[in-house]
Amino acid sequence: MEQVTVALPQSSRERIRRHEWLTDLALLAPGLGYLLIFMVVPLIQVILRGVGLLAIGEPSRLTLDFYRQVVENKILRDSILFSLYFALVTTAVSLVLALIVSALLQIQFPGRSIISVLYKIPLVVPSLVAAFLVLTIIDQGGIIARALSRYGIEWPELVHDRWGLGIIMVLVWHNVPIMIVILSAVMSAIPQDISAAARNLGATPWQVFSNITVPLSLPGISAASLLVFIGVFGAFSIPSLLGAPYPSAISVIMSNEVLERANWAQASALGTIVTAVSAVVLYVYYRLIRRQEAALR
Amino acid sequence: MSTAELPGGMAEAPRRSAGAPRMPMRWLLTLGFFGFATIVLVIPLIVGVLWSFVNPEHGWFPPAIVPPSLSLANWRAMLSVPEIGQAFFMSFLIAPIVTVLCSALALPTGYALGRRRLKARRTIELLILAPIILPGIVLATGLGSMFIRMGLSHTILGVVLVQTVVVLPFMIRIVAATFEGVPQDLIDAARNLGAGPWALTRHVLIPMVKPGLVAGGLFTFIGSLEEFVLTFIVGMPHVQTLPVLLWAYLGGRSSIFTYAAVVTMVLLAPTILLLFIAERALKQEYLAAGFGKV
Amino acid sequence: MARLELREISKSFGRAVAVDRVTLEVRDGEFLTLLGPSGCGKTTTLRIIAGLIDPDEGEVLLDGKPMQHLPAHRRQTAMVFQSYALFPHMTVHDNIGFGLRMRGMPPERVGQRVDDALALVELGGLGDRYPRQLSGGQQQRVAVARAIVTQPKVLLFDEPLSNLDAKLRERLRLELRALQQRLGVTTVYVTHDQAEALALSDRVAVMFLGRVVEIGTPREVYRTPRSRVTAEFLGVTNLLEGHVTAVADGRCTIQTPLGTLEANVASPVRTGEAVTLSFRPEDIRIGRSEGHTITGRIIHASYLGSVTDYVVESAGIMLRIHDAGTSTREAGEEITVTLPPVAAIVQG
Repeated sequence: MEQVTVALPQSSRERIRRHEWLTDLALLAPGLGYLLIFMVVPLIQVILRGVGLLAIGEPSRLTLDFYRQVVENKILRDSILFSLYFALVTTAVSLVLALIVSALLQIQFPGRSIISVLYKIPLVVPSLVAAFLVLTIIDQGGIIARALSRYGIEWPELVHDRWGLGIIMVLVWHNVPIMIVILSAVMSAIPQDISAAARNLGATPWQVFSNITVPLSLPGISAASLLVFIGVFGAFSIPSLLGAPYPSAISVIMSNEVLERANWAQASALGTIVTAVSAVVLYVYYRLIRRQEAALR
Repeated sequence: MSTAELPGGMAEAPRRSAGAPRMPMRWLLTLGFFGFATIVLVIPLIVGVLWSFVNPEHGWFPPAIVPPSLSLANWRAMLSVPEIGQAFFMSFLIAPIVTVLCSALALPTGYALGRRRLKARRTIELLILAPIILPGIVLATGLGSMFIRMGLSHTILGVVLVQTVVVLPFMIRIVAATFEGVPQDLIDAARNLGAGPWALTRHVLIPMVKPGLVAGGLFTFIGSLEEFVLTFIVGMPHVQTLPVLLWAYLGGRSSIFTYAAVVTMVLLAPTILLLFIAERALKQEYLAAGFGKV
Repeated sequence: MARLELREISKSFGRAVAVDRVTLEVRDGEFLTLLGPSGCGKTTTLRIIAGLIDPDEGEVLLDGKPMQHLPAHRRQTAMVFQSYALFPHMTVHDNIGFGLRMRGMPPERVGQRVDDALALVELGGLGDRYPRQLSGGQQQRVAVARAIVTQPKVLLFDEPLSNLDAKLRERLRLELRALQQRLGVTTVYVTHDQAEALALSDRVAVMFLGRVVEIGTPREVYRTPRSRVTAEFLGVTNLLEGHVTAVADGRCTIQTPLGTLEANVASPVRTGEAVTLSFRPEDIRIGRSEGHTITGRIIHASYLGSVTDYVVESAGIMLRIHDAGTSTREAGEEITVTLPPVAAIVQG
């Protein structure tokens, strides 16, 4: 039989490849272009301004003064520690609550569909509204305090306190649903047969939860924790409304530097630190997730 | 063989699968969940509503569990206090614009991410994730000074642009996930049956991704209504949306709980309503696509 | 009407070669099946015909004319997908009419043709349903109707029956064959089910590791396979090593551990050459009759309904025997069996 090899000529294949590449670029341009202009450019400005460049209202010079401030100034130093503190506590508490709720939501019970809509409400509630709603309950003039005072019990000060309990409560209220969304998605993806097999081999529901559900949900658990931690670490409105005068959250200090002192450079240095912390957490997460996913494969 | 054919003694014991606990257990769960939801969700909402109806002449002072008298005075204030009305108008003017802008930007990019083989996919995904990860206050610091120089500060356009930065990533991710979810077989079948690129998009792709687009649009709309930090720093004091006003009522000046309650209800009603209407559209996978996979 | 040719088609995905220099001809009105295990490249080949995948090399021709420049939607090669790929947002009627609408046919004519197609697959009256409201078998018929309504030059099937239960599969198999013969349309059918391939096809092309290893009528590929892969993939077979002792008149004599056997010569063999023989379990008779007789011991017996499946050991070799007789023998029993007079020589 005669040899008929019909391949597209090399040049036309080349042309197709270039055409594909241009199509990709044209499709990506609107979204990515927008983010490049309105996110990457300002972010670069923040980083540069933090080391004294691009200064506003004074001559630019390369300096680490603003970072030295962060190290030397106790107020700034404490603000970073305080933000780290409530971010960690909020993440831990939310994770425990979300794990329990997500696991229970995997079980069929009457009214489950209603609950699975209800729990999403805080998701669409603005954080300021969340602050207000929780305030009306836990503040000294709130409903709990009022109810307890009838029995002569004094309700402790939870808002504007130095341990940031009010901040943490509102942040938990606001972030648990995000975690539940992620965790229930991961948990419902675990094949029923696997849990059934564990039960069949004699595991109690609790053992199934701790030995099967949690390990298999690890990618979701770490993703959810990461998102909540980073989100809470830079949160502004809730700490600014419910925080004590001292220590302040780092975001509150930043907004004061900008709005009250017009000290853009100092705010930028702090912003760079916040960004760096988020980036480090994200990096650690990626290292972790790679190992977890490899382990699950 | 069905159990009915078994001898009576064996058929009587109903078999349960691992996922379906005994009846009392299930009702206990129901009770627990609804009790919990009442404490953390329903009571705060009711108290919030009550605050908006407090009669300003009598107030609502401790230890009263319910306000001594109710009135519509605070709601009437909505019409008489111009800043509330203006903020309402501003919020509901900006949100649709942001939604339209976001959809226009996210559709092509989401399609590329969901359906095309991209070279630098990881980098692109990270770039899209960045605004979700970056604290709003950092973005606000950068954008604030940039917008002052561009003359966009204190303008509606400026606020639209900054809000878009924060909600765009969610929209792109949801759109990408929806496009990704269209089975390749359906696309192949349409092409096999003679649909060209345009017909394929119109008759198959668009109808298939519509639920995702609706979910993404709702998300964007609500996201815009809620956005505070960037609007606050870029828009103040001329562009005052409802969250900015709420901040003023709650903390900025002396806290005015009753007005705050009114603004809260105005902000909450549409979002919660949308949540219930769009329950079907806001399927788990879209939500998880928006927030979840990092 | 339509003659389909594949010339030296190759396709790789990354480093994996999916299709390796496949050359095939499907005659006008012929029903050709691509049979092979999963991952053998049969589905890729089908998608290359449909234009859904571009081959790296080679060419697809329809009636001698190259189709390579035609995009998928311009080829008249209607396909029935394994998943059916029914559009979930369209009714049955709109699904079937889709291809006609894409060709710009006016709505009233589309309606007429769709109704005809529905009647043809015995789904009249279900046009307003949505795919999710149909059973698996009904969905399958809709997929078939959607493909044939456009009067394609070539019909392509990608494992269309694999998602159905055994009973239904068998019935639809008959219906598909009848429909294809009625329409007389050139058909390429992909399956990994050997019974389906044998029952449906005019010819079967056996694919393995991206290549067509053998092509022939169902009887040819089953009775006289030329390759070991075909023999093993098409049902159960006994393989026996030996070497040729004599060649004459298209027959040869082969010395094996079980004695001397005869085989047809399909490709040239020389005396002394080592070969592998293949014969089917049902070709071995229990008891004495015409042919070479050996004795063995039953290792295992399992009753399969229509036959009893025996594993018999003789001279250190395990033989599979399917016996249709009514008498049952137990494991451990010594029996005499007759090997088939003529076996097939297989390559590889």
